[in-house]
Amino acid sequence: MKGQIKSTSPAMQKAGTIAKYVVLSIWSIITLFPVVWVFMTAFKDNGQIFVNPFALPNPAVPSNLTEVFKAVNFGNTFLNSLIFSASTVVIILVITSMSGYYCAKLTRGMKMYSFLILGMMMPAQTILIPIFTTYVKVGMNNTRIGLILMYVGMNIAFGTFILTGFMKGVPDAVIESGVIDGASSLRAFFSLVIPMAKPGLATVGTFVFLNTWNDFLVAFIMATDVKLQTLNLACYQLRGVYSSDYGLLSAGCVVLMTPAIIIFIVFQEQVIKGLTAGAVKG
Amino acid sequence: MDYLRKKWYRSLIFVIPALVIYLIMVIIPIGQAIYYSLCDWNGISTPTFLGFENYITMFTNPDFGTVIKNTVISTILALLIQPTVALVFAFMIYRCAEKAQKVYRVLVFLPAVVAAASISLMFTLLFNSEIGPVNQILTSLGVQNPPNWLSDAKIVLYSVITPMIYQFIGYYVVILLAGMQSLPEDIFESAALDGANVVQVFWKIVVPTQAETIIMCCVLIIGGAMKAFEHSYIMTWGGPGVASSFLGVYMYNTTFQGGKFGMGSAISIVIMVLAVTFAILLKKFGRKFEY
Repeated sequence: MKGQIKSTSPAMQKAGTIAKYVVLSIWSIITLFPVVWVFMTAFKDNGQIFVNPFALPNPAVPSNLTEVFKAVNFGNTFLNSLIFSASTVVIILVITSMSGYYCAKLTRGMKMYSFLILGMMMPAQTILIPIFTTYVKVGMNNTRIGLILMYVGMNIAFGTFILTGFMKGVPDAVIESGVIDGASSLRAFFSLVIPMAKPGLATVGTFVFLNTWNDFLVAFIMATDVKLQTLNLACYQLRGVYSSDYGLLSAGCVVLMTPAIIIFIVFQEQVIKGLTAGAVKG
Repeated sequence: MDYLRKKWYRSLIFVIPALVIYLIMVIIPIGQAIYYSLCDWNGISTPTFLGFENYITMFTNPDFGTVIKNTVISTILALLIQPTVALVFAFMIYRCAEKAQKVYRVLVFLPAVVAAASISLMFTLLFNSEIGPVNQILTSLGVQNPPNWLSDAKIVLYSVITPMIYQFIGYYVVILLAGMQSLPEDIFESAALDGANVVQVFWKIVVPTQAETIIMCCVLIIGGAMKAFEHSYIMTWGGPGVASSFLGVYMYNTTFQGGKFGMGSAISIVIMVLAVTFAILLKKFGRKFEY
C-alpha cells in the first residue's frame, strides 16, 4: 500500500488507521454539512425550518422544488446555461486543439505558446469593462454571440495550455506516416491526431463546461435581458423576491448545484486532471 | 514533421482562429482598459483624458485603503489555512486504500465544483441571524446575543471569507494529493527501514518534495484572492459600505453603480498588475526550493 510506514507495531498501525479514517470521515461530514443542510431545507416549508432547522423534513415538502422551477423559469434559464456552456466547449475544443497542435508540432519556438498562455494570468475583471462598453456600442450586449465570444476568449489560454501538452505526447511517427500515405496536413490532423488526444479534449471540455456553467460575473453584467438569463443568475435573483422563504431559496441552491455535481461525479478524472495540470510538478 | 513545417503558411491555419479571438477578446481589451484607466469616463460619451489622476484619487481614497486591507486579510488567512489544512488532509487521504482515496477525494472536492454563487447563497442562509443554523446552535449553547454575521461591519469581512476558504480547500487537497501520488514508493520504504514514524515522514519527506506544489497552490490562492467577487457580492454586496469588499467588488460597484468607468478600469488594472506580479514573484521564489 502506498505510503505505508512499516516501522510501527501492528497494533499501533491498526489504531493509527482507525483514527485516520475517523478524522477523514468527520472532515468529510463537516465539508458536506452545508450542502446536505441546504438539500434538507429545500424540502421543508418555513414553519418546519423555524421550529428546528436541523430535523429531517417531516413531512417532505416537494412544492418548494416545483415552485422554484417556475420561479427561475427553469426551462428557459437551464437551456440558456446549457447553450452557453456547450457552445463555448465546442468552439474551444476546435480552436485550441488546433492551436495546441500548432504550438506542439508545427512550430519550433515557444513564442506563440508563451503569448497565448499569458491569458491564464489575466483576471476577467480587467477585460470586462472594455468588452462590455464595446459591446454596448456595437449593439452586441445582451446577445448570445457576444456572451459566447467572451467565454471563448476567457478559455483560450487554458485550452491551449492543456492541449499543447497533450499534443506533444502524440508521436511524430503517426503524423508522418499519415502524410506519407497522402493525407494533407489538415486531414492528418483530424483523423489521426484528434483521436489520440481524446483524454486532453475530455479534460478541457469538462473544465470549460463547469467554469462557464458556474460563471456569475460575466452573465451578471452582460446578460441582463430576461430572455438570456442563466440558471446561476436566476437563482441569485430569487433572493430579491423570496427573501424570507428559506425553503424556496434552498431549493434554488439545490437546482443550481445538482447539474454541476452530476457532471463532476461522472467526469471526475477529467475535472481533476484539468485542475491539477500545471499545478503539480512531475 | 519538417515536411509540414516547410509550408509554414499552411501551418498557420491551425493557430489563426485561436489567435484572432485571443487578440480581439483579450489583448486589445487589456490595452483599452489601460487607456480607459487614464480617463474620466461615464461609459457612454467620449472619455476625457486625465493622465494618472484616477490612480491618485484611488490611492488617496480611504475606501480603497479598506478594500486593500480586506484583500490582504483574506489572502493571509487563506494562505495560512488552506495549504496547511489541505496538506494534512491530502497526506491522510494518501495513506488510505485506493478506493477510499477516490471516495474522500470526491467528497472533499465537491464544494469546489459547485458554483460560487450557490455556496454564497448557502452561507447567506447559514449565517442568517434569526433562523440560520449557526446562530441556532449558538443560542442553544446559551449564547445570549449571537452576532449579526452579515450586517455587523466588524465581522462581516470574516463572514464572507469563511465560504471562500471553505469552498476551495478541497481543490488544494486534490492538487497536493496528486503531487504525492507521483512520489516513488521507495522513499517511504527506505524511511520505514530507517525507523521513521509518521510525523517524521510528513515533515522530512512529504513537505520538502511537495514544496513546489505548495508554492503553486499559494500562487493560485493569491490570484484567487485578487479576483474574489461572488462570495462578497452575493452575501453582502461588499457592505456595509466597503467593509467586506474586495478589489473585484470595489471595481464593480465603482463602475456599474457609481458610473465611473475610468476609475473602474484603473481598479481593474491594479487587480491585473497585482495578480501578475504575485504570480511571477512566487514562481521565482519557488525556484529556490527546487532540489
